[in-house]
Amino acid sequence: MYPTQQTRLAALRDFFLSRSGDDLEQACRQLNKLEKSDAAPADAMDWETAEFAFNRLFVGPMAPEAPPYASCYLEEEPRLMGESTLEIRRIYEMAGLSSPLQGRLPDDHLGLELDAALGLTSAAATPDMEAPRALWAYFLNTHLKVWVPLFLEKARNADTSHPALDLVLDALEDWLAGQDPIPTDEKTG
Amino acid sequence: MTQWNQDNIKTAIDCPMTRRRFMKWLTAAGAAAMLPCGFLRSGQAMAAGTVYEGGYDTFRNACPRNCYDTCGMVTHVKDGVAKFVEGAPESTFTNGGLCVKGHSYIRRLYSPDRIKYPMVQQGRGTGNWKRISWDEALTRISEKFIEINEKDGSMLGLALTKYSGNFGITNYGVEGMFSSLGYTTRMVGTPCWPAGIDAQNYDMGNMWCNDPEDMVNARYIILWGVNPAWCSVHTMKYIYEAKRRGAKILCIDPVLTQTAAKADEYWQVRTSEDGALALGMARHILDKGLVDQDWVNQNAVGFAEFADYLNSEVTLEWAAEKSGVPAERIARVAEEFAGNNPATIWIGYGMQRHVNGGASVRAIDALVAMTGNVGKVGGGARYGHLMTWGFNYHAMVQQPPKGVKGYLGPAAKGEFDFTKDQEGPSYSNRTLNINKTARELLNASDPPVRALWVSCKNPLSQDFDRNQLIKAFNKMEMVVVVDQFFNQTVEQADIVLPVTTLFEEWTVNVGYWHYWISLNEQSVKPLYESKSNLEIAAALSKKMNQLKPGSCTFPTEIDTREWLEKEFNSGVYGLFGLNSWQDLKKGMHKAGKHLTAWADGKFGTPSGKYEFKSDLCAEHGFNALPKYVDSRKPYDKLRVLTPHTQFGLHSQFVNLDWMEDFNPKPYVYIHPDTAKARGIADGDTVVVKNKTGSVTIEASLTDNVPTDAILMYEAWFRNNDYNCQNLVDDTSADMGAYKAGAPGVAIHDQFADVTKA
Amino acid sequence: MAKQFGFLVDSDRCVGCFTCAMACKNQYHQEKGVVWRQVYPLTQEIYPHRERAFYSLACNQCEHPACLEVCPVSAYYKREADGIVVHEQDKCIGCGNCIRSCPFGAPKYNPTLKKAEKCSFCWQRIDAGLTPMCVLSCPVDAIAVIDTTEPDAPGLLRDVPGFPRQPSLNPSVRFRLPKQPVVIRREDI
Repeated sequence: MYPTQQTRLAALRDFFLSRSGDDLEQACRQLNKLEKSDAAPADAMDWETAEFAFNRLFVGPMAPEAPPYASCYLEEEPRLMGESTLEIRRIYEMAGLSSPLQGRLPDDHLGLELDAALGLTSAAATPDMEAPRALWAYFLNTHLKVWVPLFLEKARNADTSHPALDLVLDALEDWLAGQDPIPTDEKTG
Repeated sequence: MTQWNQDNIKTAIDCPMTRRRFMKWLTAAGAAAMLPCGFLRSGQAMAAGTVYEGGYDTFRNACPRNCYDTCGMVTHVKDGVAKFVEGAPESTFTNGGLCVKGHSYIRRLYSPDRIKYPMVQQGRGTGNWKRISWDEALTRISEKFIEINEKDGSMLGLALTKYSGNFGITNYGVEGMFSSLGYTTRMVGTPCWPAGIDAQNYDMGNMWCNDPEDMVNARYIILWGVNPAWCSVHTMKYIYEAKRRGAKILCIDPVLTQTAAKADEYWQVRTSEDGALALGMARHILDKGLVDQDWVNQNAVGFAEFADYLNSEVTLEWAAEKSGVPAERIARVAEEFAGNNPATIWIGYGMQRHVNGGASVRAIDALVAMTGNVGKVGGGARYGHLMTWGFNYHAMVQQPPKGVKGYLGPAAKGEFDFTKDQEGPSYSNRTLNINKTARELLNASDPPVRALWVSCKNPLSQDFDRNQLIKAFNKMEMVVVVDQFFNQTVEQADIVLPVTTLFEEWTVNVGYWHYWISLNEQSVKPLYESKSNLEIAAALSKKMNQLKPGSCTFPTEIDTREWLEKEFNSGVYGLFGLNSWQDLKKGMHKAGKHLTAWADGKFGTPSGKYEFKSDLCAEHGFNALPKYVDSRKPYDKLRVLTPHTQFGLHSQFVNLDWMEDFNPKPYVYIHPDTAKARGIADGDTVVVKNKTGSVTIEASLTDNVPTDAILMYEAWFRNNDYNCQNLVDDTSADMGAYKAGAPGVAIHDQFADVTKA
Repeated sequence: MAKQFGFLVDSDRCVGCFTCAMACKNQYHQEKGVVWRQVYPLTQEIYPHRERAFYSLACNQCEHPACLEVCPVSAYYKREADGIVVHEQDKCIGCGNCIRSCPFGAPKYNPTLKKAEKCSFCWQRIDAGLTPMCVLSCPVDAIAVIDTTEPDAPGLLRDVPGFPRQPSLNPSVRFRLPKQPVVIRREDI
């Protein structure tokens, strides 16, 4: 279970950080092996149109239909580098992480957040690790569980659609649903 | 609370993120204080929004758009994020303020809609985009350039169209990049102001205006075809101050503009009959003996011939009939203007975008000169100046690779081309008229234009005869567009390259109206994969030389801050009282001279005097005297005016959602009588159609426009297929070729009819 | 004696350039559609030329604010020293009482946060010794900070056409009305 979860998370991360159709295909094939989805199998997909759709939704050069940045959903206005972006930067710092793209790619890009989730869930699973567990619980409950559903809704309602996107969005939703809010009983007030 | 075990974490966290600073859990004191129940900060607080907090790092930036005001800005940065901007406080011109556009810059920087990566479109206009690396983008581009060179034996098949999207001096590196590739094809000229530039050059030997801040000294101000309330907001306070000190403000415009509403008197002139109006005033001044004969005798040539012309061919009644302004008003103002020294006229750019635009400017210049108002504080025929632009143009001046071939014949030069003519090779660039971009790209042959590079420009929103232009784009084998946002030109590109905003690059800016200089610092790191125009040039050169050594002379490694420094020289330092460019980090500086144009009476004309009669002008095919020239014959029922909006600078700013809060959609403004005759009510959707094309748009009824004209503001909206250039053909203005390389364009000599949709 | 800060709205100088309104967004980054300071064109009954004269208005910092009266959770308070009316968004429950009660339309509804918000008179800037952003930005000095406990400067008006007369609230705003130019229209049409 655990390694599978991590592989899935890594594949989701790689998907959203994709730079090319090849990256997309690789990430989707990885997910396809793991998911019990109704979506079409990866073998039946056209990766070029997947790439066009991916760029239309998440990259550009046209205004992205579903920008993959938390602050676009959490801030009062859909703006990059807002307060919530800096909040995430501080969470990464607490986990001892920082993005090599800091200042270039907003820290709350979904790909980076899934990467952080990968790190934090690994750390949180280690026994006697209350601190990372608390941080993960916070990151999950007050952040990911707040904005990722909004992002999913926006991406699914976008004008552009593609089976590869369906597969990935389903996988992202499943993954998020499977994350138990870890009891934060170490609240010490 | 257990401390994080660094080793365990290190093995547990399998991330590509580097610089893993595994801080101890509780040593992140600031962070720990934010945790729930005394630790993490709550989500509520997070959403509290942005407020002034203090403790910012401040950087100097300058608005690099094509604008009279070219404002210096102070950017407030925290945690590497730009938070807000203010106007430079030390500039007496901007006085700590910006404009509606300048205050939207934070949104431009952080809009989710920015172009973030190099991308390639599979089929122009399809919207099927792939992200590619810079390396791949430059490889594709370089391979195409090399292919062109091999096919044609020159680089003339490669064309550059660039104009005023970014006037930061180092952005002339785009031209430099092209020069370093060999002899290429350049779109030369300007749709902006060239007819007036030439007119002032014929009359006075240069385009040179007084410091706008000295307008407070004027005792009479005519704002002629200019709308500073929208297009030079910081000049308005000087006009107000002059008014407070007793000056009369007259605004002359076909449209009752916002500036007109703030004047003492407004004249609704018949469009493009400004020359007749000025000449009528001149005749009356002559008749009343109000000519400043001492000034004329001392400083001018050809006045007698001009007076003969006025006496034989101009009357007050004729001027009234032509211009639509009552004769008694013309007479009264002529007397007031001549009797209140210093008096000044600010000549706008709109009034010279006509087939007789240069002639009209010459007539107005003559009016100012004959009343002795040239060369005086508070006086002058104000149009613009380039007196503060004496940089090195280091980025622009690049040598072609050895032995390359080019165009045999003379090349035209633009008004911002400060390079000296080169000795030696007889080859040059092939120059095409920027104002006829569509037909020039279609017609160019031997070799044809095969590839087009677009930078600092949005041709599909700004160039004329848009339907033709689409055809021209279709003919290109490759179109590369460098931009910040997806627009109607990017839509027709093969490759788009993301370019930095003003906050992300080093450069320096001066204006063509005021006399200030501003540094533009890199306030934040370039976002995503954006590069400055200079960095793009260096990267392209590197790739070109990798694929074909010696094919590009542009340096392959550059430090943009060093390149900024290379633009300065002792002339610039002396003019602005600088010891070093670093002085500008503390604030803007103002030029210490040139502030009163022609004060010494030494004109730049062949005679060294003000030339009422210009033989040079005659040599160039125009009247030697500032005679009346007929306006363009209407080709449809209503005149179409497409001037500037306060919410945009040409095609920029209107696409920002912050701006859409105040300027959500385009309108066509129609006089109620004109609308009524066509059964059009306020708010109706209408079709404006002419021989060039059509637009469908909402009607707004107002008697701010005359009954024989309709008005819509340039140029496009992001969520709307509106484009005013659908209605504008590429008919030339009279003048412009002398100093700007190509004649101007008769933007406001367009006609159409409007019907209910 | 305590001050009462308010705005001078000089419509004679105002050119309707919207700089003040955008300067406010520049400082506060309000959500799209939420505008604290708006530039209102005067109707043609008040000024004959359409969209050529304006009142630039935000919160009028009333002596007796209706918003403060009707707020069920005391999310509003009036600063003693300078009379600035402050809205504490943390306390706001989004009931909309203030929005319905303010005759000037100063409080706005933020649909994302489901709370009210309004012009703060830039009290954080005031406390830092700075000018409110809108006032700083105005290129023609058409808005200014005034202290209404001082006698009004000559020519300033309290009640002007198009602005709701509310003596019981006593809004801290003073006006100067726009003048009209002599208009010479074409004789040939």
